[in-house]
Amino acid sequence: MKVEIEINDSPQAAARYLTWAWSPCRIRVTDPAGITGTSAAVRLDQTALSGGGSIRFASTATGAGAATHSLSVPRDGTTVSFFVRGLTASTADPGVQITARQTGATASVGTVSLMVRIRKDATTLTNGERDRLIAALAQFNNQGLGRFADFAGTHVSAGSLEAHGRPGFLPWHRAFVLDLERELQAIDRSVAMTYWRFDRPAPALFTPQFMGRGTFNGPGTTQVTFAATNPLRFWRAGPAPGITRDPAFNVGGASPGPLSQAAALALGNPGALYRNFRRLESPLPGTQHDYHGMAHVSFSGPIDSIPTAAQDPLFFFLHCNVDRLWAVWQKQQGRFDVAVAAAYETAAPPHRVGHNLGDTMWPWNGVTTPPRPNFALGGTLASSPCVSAPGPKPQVSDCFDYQGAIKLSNNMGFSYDDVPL
Amino acid sequence: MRKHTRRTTATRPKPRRARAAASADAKRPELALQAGDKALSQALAILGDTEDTLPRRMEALRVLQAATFAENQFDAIRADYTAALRKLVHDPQPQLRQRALGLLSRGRDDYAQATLLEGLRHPDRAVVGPGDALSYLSYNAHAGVQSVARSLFKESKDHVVREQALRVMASDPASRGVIRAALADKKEPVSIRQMSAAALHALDPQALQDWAGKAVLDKTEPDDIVATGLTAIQFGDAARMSDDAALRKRIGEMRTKGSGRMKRLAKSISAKHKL
Repeated sequence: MKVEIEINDSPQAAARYLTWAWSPCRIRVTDPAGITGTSAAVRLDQTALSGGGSIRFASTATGAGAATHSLSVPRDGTTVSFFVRGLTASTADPGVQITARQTGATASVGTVSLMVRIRKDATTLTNGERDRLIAALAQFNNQGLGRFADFAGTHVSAGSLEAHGRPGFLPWHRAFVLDLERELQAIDRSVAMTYWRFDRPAPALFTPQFMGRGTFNGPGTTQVTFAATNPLRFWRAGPAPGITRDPAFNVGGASPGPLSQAAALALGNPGALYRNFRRLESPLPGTQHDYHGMAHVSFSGPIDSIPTAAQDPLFFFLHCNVDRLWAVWQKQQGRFDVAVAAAYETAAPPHRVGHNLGDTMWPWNGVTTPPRPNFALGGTLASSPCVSAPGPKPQVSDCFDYQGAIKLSNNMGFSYDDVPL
Repeated sequence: MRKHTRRTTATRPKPRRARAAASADAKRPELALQAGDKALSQALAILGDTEDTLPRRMEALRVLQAATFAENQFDAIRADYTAALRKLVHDPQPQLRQRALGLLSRGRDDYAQATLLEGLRHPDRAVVGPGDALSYLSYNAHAGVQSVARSLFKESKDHVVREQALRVMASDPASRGVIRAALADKKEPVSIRQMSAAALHALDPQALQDWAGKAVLDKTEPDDIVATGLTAIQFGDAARMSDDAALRKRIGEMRTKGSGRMKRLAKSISAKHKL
């Protein structure tokens, strides 16, 4: 007897990646030899491989799940559905092997290996995770000749109104970070975007082996120092090679000093309203209580200005953290469902186009007629072999239920290490 | 009029100063801004007040620049902010001059560009040193800037100025020969050769791969240059790699001999190119 196990309902190896969200899976008999009767009783269990991690099984996409799973698989090859999700994250690919055995037997009748691929705090990455991430970034950038230019060229003044100063700020940047993450995963499937917790010191991030080290309180003109072996040393995303990023804080032991996470989460009060929470984008006049903008301007260099910010790959780690904070807030307040008024900010008359729940977002929609910018780089949002959401031309409303907590098909295919399902 | 302030690594903040500054950073100055719309105007006033302290003015600049990320809220003072930054270009405080020039240059501000170019052509009119000026100009390196950069690269003895000149020259096809020569010249400092490698890739990726192959095979090259060559090869053409037996053999040797970082790089390249 042999069985075939598909993760994310796909035979592709590229689909064998899990998050904390339930992934639909299926199993079927491919060789019925030895099966007596119309079906075989099969038990699925898991073994940690070199990449580590662990998973949970369930027959429906609910509950906590179990470490093993038993099911009855028809002899005639009909598929049987089940669900798996990540319980602890892998650090490399593959991390976990699922083994199928006939109940009561020890011999394997089928295996599949997978990875629990989770977005993690940049300071906690293993050297291997770090090196794979920067190698994928460098390859995607191709030293200035690659498609990273589309990302750097999108987050510019002409496109700013699509992404800033209005309610769509968080959904737009969620899609932007996801788009890059998927491009990197097309290069190396084991890579997940990482986040820079800028309310904490992150000395492990600002090293020559990772994102490089600038000059403390420097003039914003010196090149970040990279190790000779760091492929980011050939980074180019603007007219000139290199990355300029002089910190105004001691990267070895301090944070830039914006709001603490707890204070930033409290911005949603009173009422746990999105309208209030999105103030984390920019300073509250008179309070200096700023989470996102102050992180950008804690450096002197391209990252401190909208027209050039996305030239620096640190931009994506910064925005991954902004997105994580939104995810934490969504989890705390139950704000995944766009049908809940407090989950977003609707208005009459409507917001500028691109900021209403039913609006498609630029540049992925390809619209280049006013009031949209007259260019749209990069095409549609990159697809994923694991999930179908948010689709190639996402609407604002597609970017809320990112783990499919409300509806499984909303799953955007990423999770954060500190935000459970 | 200010003279060029020569910027070298020797003028970078000393560790003790850095520690003191880090401590100061932890206690960002209180600007006591009013809540509401007037706050940004208040910050503008502090920024422009040359009698106020540098930390308060720098903090005001941070608050204002952070607010630029909230497009619609900032629109009311955007023109005033740009005017204030242009005024800061001539401020007595060098830190404010530098910060303002950086911010303006990233927005391709004509006034900042003209002021910087004027300073490079007439050092007695410069508001910052030539290395900083080239760096700011690199955000919009047009032909006028590139010709000045070529001259400074040839004439200057300051490594920082020459590195910045190379960055500007990276978008100038007329500079390709100068960059290739600097990369091949073993008398040039390693940092200049490394920047030349980055600049050459931008202009002629194939030429960089040619150089990288030779550098890895050249046992007289220093480790940092060999590592730069290996890093370039790592992102090079796989077919070319498989055709070069000598290079494959050398990388194979490096997987077991040499420093740890060389071994790691060689292993990484071997894995990528399936050697």
